[in-house]
Amino acid sequence: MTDTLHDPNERLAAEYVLGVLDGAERADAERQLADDPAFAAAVDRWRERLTPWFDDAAQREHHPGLWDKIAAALPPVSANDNDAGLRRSMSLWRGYAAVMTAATLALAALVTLRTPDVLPPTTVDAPASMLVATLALPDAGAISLTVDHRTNRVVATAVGITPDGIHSHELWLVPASGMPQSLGILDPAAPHAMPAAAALVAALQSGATVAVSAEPLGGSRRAGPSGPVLTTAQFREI
Amino acid sequence: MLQKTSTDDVSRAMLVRALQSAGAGDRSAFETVFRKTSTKLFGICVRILGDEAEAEDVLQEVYISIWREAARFDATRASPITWLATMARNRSIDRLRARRVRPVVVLDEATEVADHRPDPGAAAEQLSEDRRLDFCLAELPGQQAHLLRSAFWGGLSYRELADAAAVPLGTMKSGIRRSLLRLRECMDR
Repeated sequence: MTDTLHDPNERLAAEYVLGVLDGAERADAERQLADDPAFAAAVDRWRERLTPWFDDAAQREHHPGLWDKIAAALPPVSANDNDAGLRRSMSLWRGYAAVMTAATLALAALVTLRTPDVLPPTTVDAPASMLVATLALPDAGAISLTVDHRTNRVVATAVGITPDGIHSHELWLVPASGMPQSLGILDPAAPHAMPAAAALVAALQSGATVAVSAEPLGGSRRAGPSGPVLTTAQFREI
Repeated sequence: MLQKTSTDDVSRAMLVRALQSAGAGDRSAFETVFRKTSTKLFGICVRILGDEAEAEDVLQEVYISIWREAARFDATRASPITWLATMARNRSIDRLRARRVRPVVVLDEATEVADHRPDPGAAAEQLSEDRRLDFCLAELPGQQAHLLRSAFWGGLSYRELADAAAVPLGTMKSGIRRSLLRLRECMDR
């Protein structure tokens, strides 16, 4: 190896892994990590070099019930995204997300506008069974929710939401009175059915309010939201 | 570079497989990952946070992240324990940085650094038998090894290190950069 720490990439990788960069520098390094495979490889090498340091921390017994708590908090599926670097493609995602958000909203508008023409008057064998809601987040991204009363599932599709690694998005049904009820944790990676109880979903009606809050990873540890509510929306029938 | 025993190789391969299965959504494989590594990662969280209750809280977040991101683990790029331990360290340091009032920065942690190596065979998740890093740190001049350790375990920035050591920022930066270079030369030798 002939490069030295005069190579800015190699130096930054070492500083990033050691942890001496300040907040802004660290954010820059993380952006570069996402976009620059050579830099990412330098970071990997530095991580391996410093790994023996972890032996300095004695192994320690945690509370025996910890696994049960973790198992109960796990989202239904892991982010089955075999792309070796979601973070690497983040900038790509942001652009894609902006386009998709616009497309989603346009589609939602189209569906809404067309509804009166398309739906037949009340029919017996095709009950109006779909409810939709779109939660547009203040920063970026949107969550589209579809309630299918035939299966009593709420399907969530996130667009343009990038996990920050420290928060989960949790979705809540907000009743007219009483405590919000969790529909579950959003998986931003792919459309999925929320783990909400079927009875809760069965009771959903047009006009019901849904909210999304930022929570610690794995969701609120209280009965209701513990983090800030980012936005709310109402379900409506299509 | 590393002289690993075959036991280490086997446990590492098992951990890789368990992580990959967890990435495909296999909860029992994920439980295996937890059982094999949780005392190690908990030790890292406690070492950084200095508080068992908070460390347990962070450890939960760490494993939920591991579950979410297991599909992105790439065995060709990182050893499983490096990947897992880095996750525990980063999350713990994030928590440390989020504390409004930081504990007084203590640079000299040399007395805490004892030989904590677990019993042979007792720990499948044993990180590395090789003490090259310790050896190379010992070669560094003056307080440099302590400074690097403080940065690694305390999440201290150049600015915080400079303030704690009462030296100009530029002096701290150039000293650490020199040490990192020497460390790499010694480690890759």
